[in-house]
Amino acid sequence: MASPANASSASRSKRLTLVQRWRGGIVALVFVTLLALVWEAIVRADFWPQYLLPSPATVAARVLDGLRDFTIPRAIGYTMRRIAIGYGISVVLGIALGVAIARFHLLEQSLGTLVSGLQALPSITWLPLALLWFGLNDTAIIFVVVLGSLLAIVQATRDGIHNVPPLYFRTARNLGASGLAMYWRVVLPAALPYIITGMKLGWSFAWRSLMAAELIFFTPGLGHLLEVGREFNDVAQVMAVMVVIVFLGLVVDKAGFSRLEQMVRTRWGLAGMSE
Amino acid sequence: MNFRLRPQEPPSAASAAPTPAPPKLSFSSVTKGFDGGRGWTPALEDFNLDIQEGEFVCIVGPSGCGKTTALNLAAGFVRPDSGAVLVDGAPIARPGPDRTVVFQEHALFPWLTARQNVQLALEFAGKKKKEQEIVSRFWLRLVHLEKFQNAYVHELSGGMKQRVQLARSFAINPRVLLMDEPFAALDALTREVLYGEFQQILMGTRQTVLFITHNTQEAAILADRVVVMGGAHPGTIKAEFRVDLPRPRSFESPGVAEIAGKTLALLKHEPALLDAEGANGESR
Repeated sequence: MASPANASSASRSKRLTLVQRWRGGIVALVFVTLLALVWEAIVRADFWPQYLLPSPATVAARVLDGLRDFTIPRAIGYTMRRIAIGYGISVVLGIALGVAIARFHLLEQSLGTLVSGLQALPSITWLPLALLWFGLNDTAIIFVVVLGSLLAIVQATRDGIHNVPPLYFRTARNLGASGLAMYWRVVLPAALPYIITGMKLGWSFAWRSLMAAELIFFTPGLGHLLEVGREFNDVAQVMAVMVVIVFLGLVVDKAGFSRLEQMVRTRWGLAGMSE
Repeated sequence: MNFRLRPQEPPSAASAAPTPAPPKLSFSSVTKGFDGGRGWTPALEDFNLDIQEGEFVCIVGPSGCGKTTALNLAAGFVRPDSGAVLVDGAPIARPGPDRTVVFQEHALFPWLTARQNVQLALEFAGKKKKEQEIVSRFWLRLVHLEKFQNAYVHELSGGMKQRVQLARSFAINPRVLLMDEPFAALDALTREVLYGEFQQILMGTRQTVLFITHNTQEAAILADRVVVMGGAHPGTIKAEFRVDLPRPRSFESPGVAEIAGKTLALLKHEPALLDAEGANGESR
């Protein structure tokens, strides 16, 4: 902001969020520590044999081992590559389809209904079909990931565009915007808060579909590491991989979506700030 | 003023009245109705109004009198059922930047800064990046927002937002500026300041304006000609008269209160007026 008064208020609010974030981190850390202590206490109480419930230290050591011998990073690499491709296709295709459905009435009635209907189908149910169509390869998994996340993004984009205030369309047309320029410069930015919500939802669907597919389908990746742990009755490995999956999910959410959402909310003036 | 953007004849007193020059904006026996719950209802019927180049015409009337329909017709948001709406003699087919609308509120794009809002309009008009920047800076300075160019919309006050809308509209240099109760949502103090600034710009640009309001004081301060509308479904022109007071005017300017009072009286006693005069009659 250019004005000094506003600049100072902006920096004050930035300091405030820093303090809040710091406090949030401490709370989370304390909570995780407590959880580990409870876990440790249960292990020491000897309710279950150690091979069924390993201690948090054992699991942590197993995570470190996996990192050191490179099995976990390699699995993360395979998994991330698949999700990057699958989710990337979903985002691009999902937004394009969402715009098309919102724009053309005929598509709304045909494709729009199909999209709503297909959402009832859990994405993993596409795997048998994918295997028959594409064979035992990454394409089949990526297909499942795309179908898992695409529909949420299509629907959010369509809803977002339907919720663009009519006055924005009026203003844009009044200013001489037409066709592509109107969509690129006005409609999509106006619908962006919705689209980001859809992308976030799509991400979690993509992630779940991928894990499910990797578990069933024998191929390198985090899901596969889980499956290997099960086959060798190695509960510590299963838990270690689960911890890694949770950690990755948190990183993507905090570093990616939460930040993006916050940015959009502030910019669009949606954050609860008084005028 | 140094911000005259196009050559125009000097503002002669009562410039519009006698000359047969083609009107800038013309409503010619326009009828427009809407399909509502009780079938087709006319908003305007056989509506006639000519606005000359450089003229500031205020349509004053209660809600339902069709004044907003008239503006929407001029903007091209709706098409007449019969009759014609012409700008520079050519019929209006669709919305366009030659007839920019200043809306009451919420017409700025919140994901853009004040300057980006103005620049986007220039981008739609096909201007180069450099020109977009120069022109938008120029107009934002004229509406006293140079310090808030990079502020996002939610960081601006109501008055500032309307200033950005004014800057955006003037920046693309429309043939006719259409204003739909642009100051109605502002407090009286802010409104008065904006009347002053707006008139300063108008005196420099001689912009042709069609202005819709229900505020009689506003009409008295801003208008070269006041058109009083009344009735509903359809609304009709009850009276019209010129305001030849020196500019810039404010609430306190001599004559303004009288004109506002006269307008109010016309609004209140519209049935009597209808009897006394034709639809387009002069009231004095």
